[in-house]
Amino acid sequence: MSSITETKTDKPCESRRNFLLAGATTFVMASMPGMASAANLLVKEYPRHKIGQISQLQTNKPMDFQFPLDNPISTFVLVKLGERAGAGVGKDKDIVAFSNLCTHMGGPLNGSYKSEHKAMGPCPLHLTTFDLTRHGMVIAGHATESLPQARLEVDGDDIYVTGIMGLIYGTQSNPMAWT
Amino acid sequence: MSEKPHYVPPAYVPIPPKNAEVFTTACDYCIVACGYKVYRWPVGKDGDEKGNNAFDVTYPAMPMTGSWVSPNQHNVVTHNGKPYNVAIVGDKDTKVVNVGGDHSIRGGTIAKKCYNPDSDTRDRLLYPQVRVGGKLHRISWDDTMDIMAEVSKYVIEKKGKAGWGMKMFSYNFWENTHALTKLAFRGVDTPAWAVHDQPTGHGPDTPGMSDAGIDNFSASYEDWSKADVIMMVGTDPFEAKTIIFNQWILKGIRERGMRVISVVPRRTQGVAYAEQNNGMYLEINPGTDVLLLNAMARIIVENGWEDSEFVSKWINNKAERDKEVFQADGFEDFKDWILKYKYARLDIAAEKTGIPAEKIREAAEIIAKPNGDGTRKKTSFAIEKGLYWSNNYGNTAAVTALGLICGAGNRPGQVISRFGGHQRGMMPGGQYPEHAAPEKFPGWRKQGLDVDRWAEEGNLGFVWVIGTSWIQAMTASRRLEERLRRFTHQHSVQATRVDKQHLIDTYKRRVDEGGMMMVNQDIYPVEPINTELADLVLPASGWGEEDLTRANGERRIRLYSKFNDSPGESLPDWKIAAMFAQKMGYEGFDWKDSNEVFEDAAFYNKGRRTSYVALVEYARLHGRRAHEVLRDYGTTGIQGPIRWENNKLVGTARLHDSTLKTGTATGLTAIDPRWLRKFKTKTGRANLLKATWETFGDYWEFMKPKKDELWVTSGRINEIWQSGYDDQIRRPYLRQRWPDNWLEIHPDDAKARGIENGDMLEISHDQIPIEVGGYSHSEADRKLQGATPFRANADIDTTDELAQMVDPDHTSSRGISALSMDNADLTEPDELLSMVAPVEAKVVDKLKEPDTVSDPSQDLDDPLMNNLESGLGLRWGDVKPMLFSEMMKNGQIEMDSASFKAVALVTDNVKKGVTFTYFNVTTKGRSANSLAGRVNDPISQRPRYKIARGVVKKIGESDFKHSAEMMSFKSRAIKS
Repeated sequence: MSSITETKTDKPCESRRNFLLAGATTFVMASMPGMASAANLLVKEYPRHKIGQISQLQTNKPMDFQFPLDNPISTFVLVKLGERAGAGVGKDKDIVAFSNLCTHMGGPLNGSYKSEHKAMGPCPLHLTTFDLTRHGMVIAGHATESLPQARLEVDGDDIYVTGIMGLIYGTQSNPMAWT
Repeated sequence: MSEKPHYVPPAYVPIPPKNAEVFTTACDYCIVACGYKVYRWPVGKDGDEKGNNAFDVTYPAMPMTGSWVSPNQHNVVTHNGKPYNVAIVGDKDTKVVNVGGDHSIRGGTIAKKCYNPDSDTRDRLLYPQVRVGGKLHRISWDDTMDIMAEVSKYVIEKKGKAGWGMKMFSYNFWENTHALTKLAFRGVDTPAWAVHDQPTGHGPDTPGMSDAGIDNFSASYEDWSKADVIMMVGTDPFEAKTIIFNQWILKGIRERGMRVISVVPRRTQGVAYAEQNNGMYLEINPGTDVLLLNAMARIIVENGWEDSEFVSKWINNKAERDKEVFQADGFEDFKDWILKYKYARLDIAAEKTGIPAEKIREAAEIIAKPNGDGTRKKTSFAIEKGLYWSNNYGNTAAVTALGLICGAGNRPGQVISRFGGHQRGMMPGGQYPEHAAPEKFPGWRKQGLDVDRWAEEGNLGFVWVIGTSWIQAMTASRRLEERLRRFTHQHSVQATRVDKQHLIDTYKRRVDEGGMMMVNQDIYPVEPINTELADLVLPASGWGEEDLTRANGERRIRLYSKFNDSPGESLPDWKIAAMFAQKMGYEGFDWKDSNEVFEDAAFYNKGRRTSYVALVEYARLHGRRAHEVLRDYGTTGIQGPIRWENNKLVGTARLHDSTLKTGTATGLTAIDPRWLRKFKTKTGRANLLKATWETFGDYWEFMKPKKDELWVTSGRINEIWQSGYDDQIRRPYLRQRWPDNWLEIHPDDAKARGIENGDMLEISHDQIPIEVGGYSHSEADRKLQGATPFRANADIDTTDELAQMVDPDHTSSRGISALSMDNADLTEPDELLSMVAPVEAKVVDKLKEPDTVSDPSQDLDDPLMNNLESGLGLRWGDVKPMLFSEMMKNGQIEMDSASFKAVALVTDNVKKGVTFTYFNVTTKGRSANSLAGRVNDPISQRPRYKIARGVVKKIGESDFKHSAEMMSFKSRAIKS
């Protein structure tokens, strides 16, 4: 399991600061009816975030990356499934990225990728599994949300995250919501 | 491939502020009833992520802290007419059941259950409605009650009490089930009453266990982590008893190397994990459990692995009655029998069960062989519907006998118990009037009335259907559906205008012309019972909309708090029952609130496993309401029977607990029945039963797949509760996972039929046996229809001293005498006696029958034995005419046909030749239950839902085959 570090050009620190700020201010409003569109605005404001290169990826060799913040819950996995997936990118539409935290109780899914099933899990805590071909949907188990999926964009050989669908375990707001 | 799933979560979830109000409750779904906290605060007054919130947490919350509120754990509800946020999360502070706030996917999303017209709950039933011209029209509560009362009186007069029927939930809350059964039994006094999953209203669900003397909810959840080995038969706690697995079985496996043996035809995530951790998966063919269990028992006695110390101390050494089929004359007799019995042979077991002989031998060794130093492993046994909804009496007798010889049944970590299905919601308000049931039995026995067959024969003039789909929830036979339609919305007599007198006259005329009036009471539209059939549709309130109580599968009693308004004019079921009872002129229904019902019911319930009369007495002594005392116990609750000892209320962890220490009883009513420490038999020692294959084998051979047929068995999954009425249909997140019914099929079986993942299948059969008739006056109907142990229903808690359903000590002034629970001497004149009297007389007659009682010294006045529902004492002559093959000969079986559709899931998690589907999803077409025969167990009259076969055919592709938006076809048993 290797980890991808952010490229210097994307100024990750600055991006993170923006993210935090947005989370604290704007998103209290998003709970109000009709205010959800505020979330969409931020997706545009938030710069895309490079997480890897297609040429580095091998099928079924997942790579973890720290995202979007410097905290223990900000851990994602990037994987080329070798099978077409919902919101997959790349030539074969099979490159996807997901949060590494189980949405049941926050168990760590790092390293649990199962190539035979294109799945994450079973979670070491209570055995929940997630289908990476279907937007991180729970296959079996207890999680009350799908595994948050990163929206990816490919530019040449570079892979960028431009949004996250779903709340990462432990968070109450998602400043780069992909809705 | 889609770019978005069906369910897209929001970008923000409100957090409760520091001053949010907090209510305790428990989950509304599976038996486990995890503890939850409801945080309620006005919309717009959220806490923040910097620590100014109810959890005192600076977000992000860290894993395992239980302080995260996921989007599906939030909703906006109405309280006193104003909008409030609620966050409903597993109680992170709880030390019992779901320790630390663990939860299932059902309870974890229960916030979405709350009524919110901006969500898919918007079609809640809000007002009473009447069907006129095929459409439902609003009507007032007062008019509905007048109409129902007028028509009911007419029906009772014209057709007798048994012409008035009730088909009701037993899973709902105590206050509601108490009021409804009080109405049916003490008000109307009708035998035409049954619960949602039973054709007849009484008898234990696990009769082989009751006849052995074991209460089927005797265990405490901690027992499932304290064993060295657990053998689970016909049940998979990972699926829909989630927290028993997550918190207790996983703990046992991880902390003490507990080994888990799963006897099921299907591997799940939980089975796979146990298998990987030194457990076993015994892949059994449906319905063959008794052969496996007998073979294991034989291996154990052949090798002398039985727990001889336990056996000599705790097993009855002689049969309580002579010449009977099932009860062994002590262990030696059992041993002789099982060593000779054909259907305890390993080769036969291996052939029929499909489990290799070596695995059976290994399993027997794991559960029973003493350790090298002579000590014994602690083995526990868990069962559920895969076991008992097939060969009901035989399978439950066999597993209990196997457990007993292994020394299980009465100690921590050594228990024999059900895991359970729905929560224990039945709180009887009277005694089932079996004297009024028209079918007879051999000898002294009477059969409980089979409400399905009774209705089909046109014997009901009025029926009240409460909280059940009835048709699909039972075996979904076409015959039942056709007849019910014929007598209601397809009848020639129909109302033409919303006018009270016109409606009354119309329904009376329909009754005169062979039809019936149907009332349905529910919280949502349910097809077809209230969307097409029912004349009146009454809106009930539900979970969180009233203070209510219920017990879970370890008898843990909690208050389920009200925290939001019930929508529209919906009312709690107890209130509706009371309104109707008062219109009928019945007394004892003048409760002002649910607490009064709860307190009242305690005195009917005081002999049962959930006895809480001590709590009520305690509350009264302290000038408090019983609900409020229970509320103080929060999500911890207290396990029944509740005792009052040394001035404190004390729960009871397990029943038949030989290690139990009790204190000095305080209060008026000593709660100290003998079965707290001993088995529930006359002697306090358990009975070993000889479980037979012959009582089931003919049916199994008939139902066994032939040619290209496959077994079609069914069960639960975590994501859907019961018919999916408020989750699968109304929760986008769960609907996304399971948008339709599904069928798991082995890759070899799929390939042979050209089936791939995501294909739409039709599963059908045209030779589904249905028991018919019984309630006309034909010659065939005068013959025997089957033997039913009498009184009570399974959900009235099995053999629980059923006379105490109408407690002889109970008085209308809600006080009680100081008689002990075990003492049924009817020493005090009581208003109830006149009602009970005919029944008591019958019981005495039974017991005077000389050749059925082997031991004249037995205490015939023992209320327990008087009321035992039992296969004990049955002789072969009694049993034979009740067998399927005999009923076929006697013309009591007709063949029905049925089919249902499902999406293919191709997986080797099911064994070859067996398919597995959800039992009761009714969103599209019929449920899987429709392929099950309607031929009940000959001894217990329990249904055999799990035994079905069908022809499986691809009819096209589902919408989900090539879409990533909904449904997953991945394995649900991925190894770690």
